[in-house]
Amino acid sequence: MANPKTKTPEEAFVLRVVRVSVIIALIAAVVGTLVVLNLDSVKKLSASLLASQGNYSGAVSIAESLPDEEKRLECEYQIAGHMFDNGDYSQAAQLYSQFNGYKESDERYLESSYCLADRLYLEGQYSEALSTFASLGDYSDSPERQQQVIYAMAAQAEEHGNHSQAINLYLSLGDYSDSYDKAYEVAMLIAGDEESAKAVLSFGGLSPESIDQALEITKRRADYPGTVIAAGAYHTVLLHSDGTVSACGDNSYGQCDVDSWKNIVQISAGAYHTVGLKADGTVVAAGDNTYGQCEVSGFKDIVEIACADTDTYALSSDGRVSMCGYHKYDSVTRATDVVSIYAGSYAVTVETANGTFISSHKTHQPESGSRVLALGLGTGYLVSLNPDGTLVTSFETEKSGERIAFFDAGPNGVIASDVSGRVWSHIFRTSDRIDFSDLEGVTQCAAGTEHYVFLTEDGSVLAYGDNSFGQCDTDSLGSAF
Amino acid sequence: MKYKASFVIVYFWLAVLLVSGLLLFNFAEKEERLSEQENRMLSGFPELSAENIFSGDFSSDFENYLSDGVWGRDSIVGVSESLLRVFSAASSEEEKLLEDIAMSDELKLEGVDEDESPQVEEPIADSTEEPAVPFEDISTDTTDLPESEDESVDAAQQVTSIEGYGFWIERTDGTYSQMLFPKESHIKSAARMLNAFRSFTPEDGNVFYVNIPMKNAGLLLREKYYSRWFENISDGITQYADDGVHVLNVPSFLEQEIIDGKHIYFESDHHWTPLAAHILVNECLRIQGLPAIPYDEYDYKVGLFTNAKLGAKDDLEMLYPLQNVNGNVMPHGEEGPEFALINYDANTYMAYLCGDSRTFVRYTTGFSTGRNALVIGDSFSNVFAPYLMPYYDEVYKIDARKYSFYRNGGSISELMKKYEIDDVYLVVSYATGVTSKVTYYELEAALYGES
Repeated sequence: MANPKTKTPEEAFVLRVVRVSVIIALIAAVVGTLVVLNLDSVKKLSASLLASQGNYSGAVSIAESLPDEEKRLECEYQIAGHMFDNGDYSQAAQLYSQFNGYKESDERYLESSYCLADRLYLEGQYSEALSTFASLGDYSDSPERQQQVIYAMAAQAEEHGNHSQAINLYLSLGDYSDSYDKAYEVAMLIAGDEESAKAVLSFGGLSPESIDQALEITKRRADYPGTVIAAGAYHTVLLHSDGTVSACGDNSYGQCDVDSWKNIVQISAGAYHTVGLKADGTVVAAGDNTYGQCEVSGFKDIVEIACADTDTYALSSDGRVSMCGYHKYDSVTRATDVVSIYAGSYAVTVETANGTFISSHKTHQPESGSRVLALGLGTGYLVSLNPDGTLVTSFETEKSGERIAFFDAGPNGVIASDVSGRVWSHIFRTSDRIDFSDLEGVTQCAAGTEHYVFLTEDGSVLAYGDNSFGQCDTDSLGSAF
Repeated sequence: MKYKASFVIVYFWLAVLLVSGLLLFNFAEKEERLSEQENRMLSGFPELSAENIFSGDFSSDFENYLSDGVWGRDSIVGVSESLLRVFSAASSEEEKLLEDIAMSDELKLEGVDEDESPQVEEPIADSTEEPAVPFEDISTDTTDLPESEDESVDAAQQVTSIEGYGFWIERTDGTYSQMLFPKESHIKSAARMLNAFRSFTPEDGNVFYVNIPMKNAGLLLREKYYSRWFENISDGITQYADDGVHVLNVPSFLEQEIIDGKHIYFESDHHWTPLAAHILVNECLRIQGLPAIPYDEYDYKVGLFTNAKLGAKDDLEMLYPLQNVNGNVMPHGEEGPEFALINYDANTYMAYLCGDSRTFVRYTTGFSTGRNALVIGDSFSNVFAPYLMPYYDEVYKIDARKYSFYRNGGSISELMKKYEIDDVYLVVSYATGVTSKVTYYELEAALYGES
């Protein structure tokens, strides 16, 4: 008889299967329970694993599915860390920037951006590197790194033949490394001579196109230096190359009695008086002396003169300004280190060695920091000649003229000549306007009350407008050269 | 009885003596003097000369002298103004407008005997000499005659709609206070007058008509019941004006400045300020394409300007010209004694051209521009003229209310030709504006030679 306690093989097999299944089920239940109870941790772990392998999108998706805000932030923070460790600085910085100060996210953001900028610099992407370093403010040595990048950009521009751009970049670095010397080297390449190279360097900050124009204008002005022609209210004055002076027009005050003058290096004209600067630094004057504007005998060591309607100004070699005439402007006579004087109508403006302007009237003072080649003071208005050859006037909102090299401001308008010798003008009253379009080869200009005088390249003097006093009879003056 | 009769006789003669004394005291020869209440010079005893008697000037000046010399005049004027306010049904706002009207009438009165020149031995220019341009006797032309002889400013009226020509101040309730009521005839006459002046300027010359509202109308803009002011008179005149004639819509330039609290009118006087005049000068310059000199380009001496009666005080900005200005009175059209542009010792409106200006003065500006200007106006032109100095070699000024052919050396057209006037500025308040006889026919008459 068979034993009832003995199982058949089939029964044993089934029993074995059932036991295994139960065990598996129990294990699965335990594991499942554990997983369910610790799902967030599992997710975080999964996200971290994905991020470490570079699958950032997947990792971020898992992180965003976390219901708890704190856990989500922590998960994403870990992802950002993996990004940084993998060298994906751009994505790391972007992600860190979204944490709003969570843990050390701010610091990590800066660190990521810095590394990014450094990589861009090493890869030669200088513009992007510069902007990234610039966004870091004072973090670490970002300011110095910016200069390093600019220097590299300048070198790159120089290598590519963009000389104007290279000069601007080198000059923008100030005292960094040998940037100024490098700028000078490049300036010499395009200017050809030391003087012009220095002039080019003084235009630092302009666009490349503007530098080219500024150079052109500088050369033009250097070719015709000093003040060779001058116009008073109703008289015209010419300085000859031999140092003598001629005049024509109204002589009611003796303002044209200049024939005896010798060794004159500069002339200027007020409304009814004429002033000359001699080579020995003394000053002579003729004409109306109602307000003492001709009391110039005491002026010594003078390097530049300028006349307003009823005043005479003289700049001495020590940088101080003396004046005589109707007005008294202490602000100007107390100025020091003056390098240029501009006078017109009733006002005067001086430029000092550090580039600042001091004026008797606010209207006649250029904006602080502006670079000008010359100024013109009219009745209630100011004209500035920019290095790029444009004129900025206080009565127009837009710049005027192109490639202007010389100009003068009179009571009734402004006249100018460009580098090619053509004339530009703005006469206020329509009825007073004159067509100067046929004029060629013009260099210096001078504006009287109602007459306009031009010096040409060959030294002849042309005059247009009112001739009631013979102020336009310039044939009698002869040639400047 | 006898004694009674003696007493009566004695008392009679005492009374006669008393009255005679009072009359003598009241009407004894006085010099011109300032009336602070009316802010003008009161007439002095006129010059007694054959020329003045036969010209009729003595009789008219003596009439002004008697009027200005009445004892207690200030009190009488003050009481009459008070009565006007008490018995008038006008609101406090309209009171201000009525004050303007009273001021307007005062402004039009003949002023001071201003002739300070040495006695002229020779007779003046022959009055029978034909003027340069035939004079049209417009006084006999009845088609454009005003309806009333006295073209004073009409009383302000409250209206509900805008009709015809006028100057209005809009109230917040949607109604308007209308101050001026010019007719088409006024408009055309003003245009004709301006065109006539233009014909005597050169081809590139200009004529500017600057007609200014009185102070109180302006101050109403700052009160809560009023919102804006406007006029259409300037457009009306412009449609009939020739090229080179520019009629400025003054309220449009001053409105926002007043609302913003800028010092446009004096508190203690009915005049506009130098700042206000500067705004309109700049507009005249802009029209000519000239660069404007900023207001603060000038240095100013600020004087305190008081009116004790109103209890008001102002700052009066007296500018220092940019160049040296020489001024001269021009009696009979020739250079006479010096005359200051600005009286820096004055602390009232008298600072500018002595308030009530001399009839004809010339200023050599110190600038060389090749042009000369003529300013014609009432006292509102006093703060206007100085800002023209930098743009002209010479600025001539005529008081529109006191022009005299014989005193000023000829017709205005002759003077314009003699002194080579390029631009003319007519700067008058509403009192001497479109609805006044000055603008309506007196100026044109003076232009051609009649006074």
